[in-house]
Amino acid sequence: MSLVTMNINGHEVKAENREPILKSIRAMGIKVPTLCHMDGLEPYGVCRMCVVQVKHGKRTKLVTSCNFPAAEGLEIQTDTEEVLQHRRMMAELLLARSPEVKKVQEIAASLGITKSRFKVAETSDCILCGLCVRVCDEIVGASALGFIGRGKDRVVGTPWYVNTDSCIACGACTYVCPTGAMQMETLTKERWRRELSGKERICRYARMGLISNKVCPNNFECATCEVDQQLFDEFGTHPILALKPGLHQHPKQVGHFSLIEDRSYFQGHTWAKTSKEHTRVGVDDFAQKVIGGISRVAFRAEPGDVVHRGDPALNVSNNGHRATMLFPISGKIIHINPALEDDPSLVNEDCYDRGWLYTMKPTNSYEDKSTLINPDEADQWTQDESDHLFSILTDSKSAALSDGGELLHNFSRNLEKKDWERITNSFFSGGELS
Amino acid sequence: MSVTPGKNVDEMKYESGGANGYRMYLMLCGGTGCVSAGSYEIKNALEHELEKYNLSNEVSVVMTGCNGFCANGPIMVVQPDGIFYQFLSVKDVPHLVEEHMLKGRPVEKLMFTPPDEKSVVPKMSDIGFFKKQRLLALRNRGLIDPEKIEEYIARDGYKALAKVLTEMKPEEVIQEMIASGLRGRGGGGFPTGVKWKTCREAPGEPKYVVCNADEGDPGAYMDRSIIEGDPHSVLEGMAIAAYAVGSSNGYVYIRHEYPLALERLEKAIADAREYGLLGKNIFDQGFDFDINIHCGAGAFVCGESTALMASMEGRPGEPRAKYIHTVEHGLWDKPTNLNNVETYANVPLIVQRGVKWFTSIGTGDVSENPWGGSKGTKVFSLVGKVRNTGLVEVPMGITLREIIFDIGGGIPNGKKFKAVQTGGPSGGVIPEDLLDLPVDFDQLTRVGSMMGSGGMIVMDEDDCMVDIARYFIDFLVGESCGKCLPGREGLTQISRMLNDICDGQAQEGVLELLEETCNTVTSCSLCALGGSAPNPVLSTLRYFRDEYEAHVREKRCPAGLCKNLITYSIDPDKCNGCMLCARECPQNAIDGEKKKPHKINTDLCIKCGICKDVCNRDAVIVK
Ligand SMILES: Cc1cc2nc3c(=O)[nH]c(=O)nc-3n(C[C@H](O)[C@H](O)[C@H](O)COP(=O)(O)O)c2cc1C
Ligand code: SF4
Ligand code: SF4
Ligand code: FES
Repeated sequence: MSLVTMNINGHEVKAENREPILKSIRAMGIKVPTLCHMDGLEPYGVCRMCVVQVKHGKRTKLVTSCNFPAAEGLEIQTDTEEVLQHRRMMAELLLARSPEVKKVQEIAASLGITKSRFKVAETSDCILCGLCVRVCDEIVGASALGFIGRGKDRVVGTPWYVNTDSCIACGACTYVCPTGAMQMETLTKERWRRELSGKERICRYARMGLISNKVCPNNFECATCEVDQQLFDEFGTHPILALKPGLHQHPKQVGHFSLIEDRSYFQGHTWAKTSKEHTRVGVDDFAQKVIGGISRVAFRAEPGDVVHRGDPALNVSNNGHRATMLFPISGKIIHINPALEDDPSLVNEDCYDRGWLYTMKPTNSYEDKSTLINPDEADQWTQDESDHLFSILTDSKSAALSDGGELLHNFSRNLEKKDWERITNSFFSGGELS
Repeated sequence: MSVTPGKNVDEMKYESGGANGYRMYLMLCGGTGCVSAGSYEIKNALEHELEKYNLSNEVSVVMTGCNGFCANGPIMVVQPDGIFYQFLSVKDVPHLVEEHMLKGRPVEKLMFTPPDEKSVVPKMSDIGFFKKQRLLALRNRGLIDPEKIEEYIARDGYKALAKVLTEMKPEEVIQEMIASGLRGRGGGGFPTGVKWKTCREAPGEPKYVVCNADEGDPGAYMDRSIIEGDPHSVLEGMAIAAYAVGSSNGYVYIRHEYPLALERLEKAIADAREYGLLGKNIFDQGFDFDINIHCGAGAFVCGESTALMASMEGRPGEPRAKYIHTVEHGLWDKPTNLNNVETYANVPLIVQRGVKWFTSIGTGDVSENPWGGSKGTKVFSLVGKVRNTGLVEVPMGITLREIIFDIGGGIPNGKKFKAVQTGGPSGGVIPEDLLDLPVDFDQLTRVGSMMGSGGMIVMDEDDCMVDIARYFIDFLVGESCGKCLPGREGLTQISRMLNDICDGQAQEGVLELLEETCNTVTSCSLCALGGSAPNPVLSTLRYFRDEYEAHVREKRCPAGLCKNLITYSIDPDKCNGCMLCARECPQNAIDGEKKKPHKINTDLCIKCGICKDVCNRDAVIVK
């Protein structure tokens, strides 16, 4: 990333090229009102409250700072009379839509507006900031919410108004909603209370994959539940926001295999993803493709166990071929992924997200860090491993490559035992045996 | 059959209609307007009659694209003499065929008579509506059967593509487009060549070439008409663009409400593929390009570039708030060249006839700067209070007066011209004293309106300017996506204020608040829909502020249109007590004895205006 120099309200600042200018503005302690912005979500740019004036070359224009990219030589003015005028007008418009909403009143008051000159009719508590829709899509990964209708009839709802099964009642939407308008979590829980019985009443945190399978003893009254309290305390925020299970990092392709940049990789083709408190681990795309259609998995550790880097983590099998995947880090097991026991093929479908194996509390993160392959080195490493694999497969008599030299889908089924062992030893043993 | 450069294109001319030796061609309009007025029935009747007189080998009936003079359809032009017939019906056909086609005596009763004149104008080229037009984008209008690729080829079609593929480098094509000064006909007026250049230079593969045929403006049908009348001109333009930017994938985004256009487009693509003019290795030059159709079912806002691409990707058709250009990050995040239908239709002509010829038409000087003027022509859809409504293509720089009075034939019913709105629903309203404004991108913007995609609505003294602004804003509120706050809440409040003004409910100060709101919506909206939506309000406030003030202060509608602000009464001096109005009034609100002046009971009156319509003596007063 390269740095650029900009000027904000007369002061020179440096910023990462193309990073939204709001970041630099806020870093200077300048207040800019925002309603649809949240760190960690893609900028959305719809409330338009964050307008500022920028001058680039000869042209001066108004832009939204939450998504305007930093560039060399920008001159930014955050509080010109014109900017303030527009912000005040927007506050008035908002106040006419949502007069009862505290957050709206506050923002308006901060701009000196206490009353709207507009007629108040058809009010709504929802300001259509889209935080709920985006958190559910980008962070939770459930995509249970969407916008319906257009123009002034736009509302938040479930896609096509259909009662959705994709909602896991995590409550992230309610948690991020600035106005208290969002009720999806409540609706889903009400439905669960009506429709689910006995063992079907799975705790929402288990559905999120944050704890092992557990049946809710509390009639889904999360607010009175210990587990809920513990998790909130542990993370200091909504647990799902801390772990971001569905956060869409786009994998990038290195030859035949994909990598994700926010992970560190272990020689034995497992990955580790670290957030503030916890680390998640799983197998990488190389392993998933080499092993092929996984029909069974067996976890080698349980919550509470303390394991070391290189210890066996998971046995997998595909059509009689077996392999053992190893822990990429040392630490204490917090949770295992309950979804894998029902559906081991998740590892094939989505090895970097829904097919995760464990969440752990690292015990030796310093040493882990120095041994793991970091994202910068991962490209080269994957390339080398890929070349190595191809040379083995070209040698072998089994049908693993197509006439054009491409990997066949699920090729490991066709491998002779000898070749299979050579491969597991070369790639999944963490480097110790080869 | 495949076409190799130059040679075969010429040869094909002889295979197609032109040299088949018919004595006479009946060019019957097959545009949507005329088709719905019955042109296919007329075609059958014509063929039947010709058969009867054994003329089928001498006279050929050809279905053409839209002629633009839709209000007078079904229309037919007899070639080679150029005789123009209008308002045809099946029952006219036997007489027409016997007289004109058999006996050589054109039928006057089916010809055009200019308003206020007595004698007919037999030839199409002498009719005012057509005389001042200059057909570039519509060059094949009424001359070819759009469903026959051979006829397009016979009129030099696909020659430009052959030329660029065999003689020009992509960079040269781009240079030519920049030098021609061609600017986007879809609304923004962005120089086409500059866009192509950016697209060519943008990193990322594959690149896409997309044609915007969404055309969501109510009442506008320029693009539909081009696709219906001359689909290959658009395909050829797209292929040239693809060669220039380095793309092999094209899409046409067309609204599904255009079934005839869709059908002709599909046929044109299939034919072009068969002729090797789309597909692999076109003209044996190693250039691959194919076009697919994407049907949009969206709102007006789907015509906006980012919304259009979102909709093509299967996401909701909403604009995105990002400071990156679709020409660099467009469809599936790849460099994408988006142009309007009419823009593409101009391209082959420029390649063929050259920059010098093209820049001789229009305004300004583009030799240094592609923004320096407006070159070529523009197609407008002329509607509202003009005598000749329809599609017209005129050179840039023509005055509004020439379009409305010479081509449009002026205002009907002896009324007075009041204003003209250009640029579609978010264009501005232009008053009478600017009638001599030369029409081009920059002049229209300067007076608070815009070129837009080419809507042109003429208004007379009976139109209330506040009501007009209200009408367009209400349309835009409904068709916007509702994503950004100024666009949604701002337009909603503007609409409320305008409705209040029209209803006589508005308070003092409303005009200032209206202006303030418009300014924020213009400056802060996420996309150009919001950015231009206040134009109808701001321009009417600018030129007709007194009319607004009359509504607010005096609770009076000077045009006599806003129902809550007017009363109907009867002028006792003019009324002769014929009782016509009393009988027609749906409310029985009119009293009076025979031969004595009548009176309207204003408590009962619903201001429907029927009494005014039926009165023979102009005795009903609206105030
Ligand atoms: C609300 C809105 C609607 C639009 N509708 C159309 C349309 O129907 N057809 C069109 O060609 N361009 C439309 N545009 C303009 C396109 O965004 C785009 O600028 C154009 O297609 C580019 O082609 P051009 O450079 O050839 O004009 C619209 C723009 C906005 C903001
Ligand atoms: S509670 Fe349901 S709708 Fe809300 S974020 Fe969680 S999954 Fe999405
Ligand atoms: S429900 Fe809340 S978070 Fe969702 S759009 Fe409305 S105000 Fe924003
Ligand atoms: S915070 Fe920038 S537009 Fe909402």
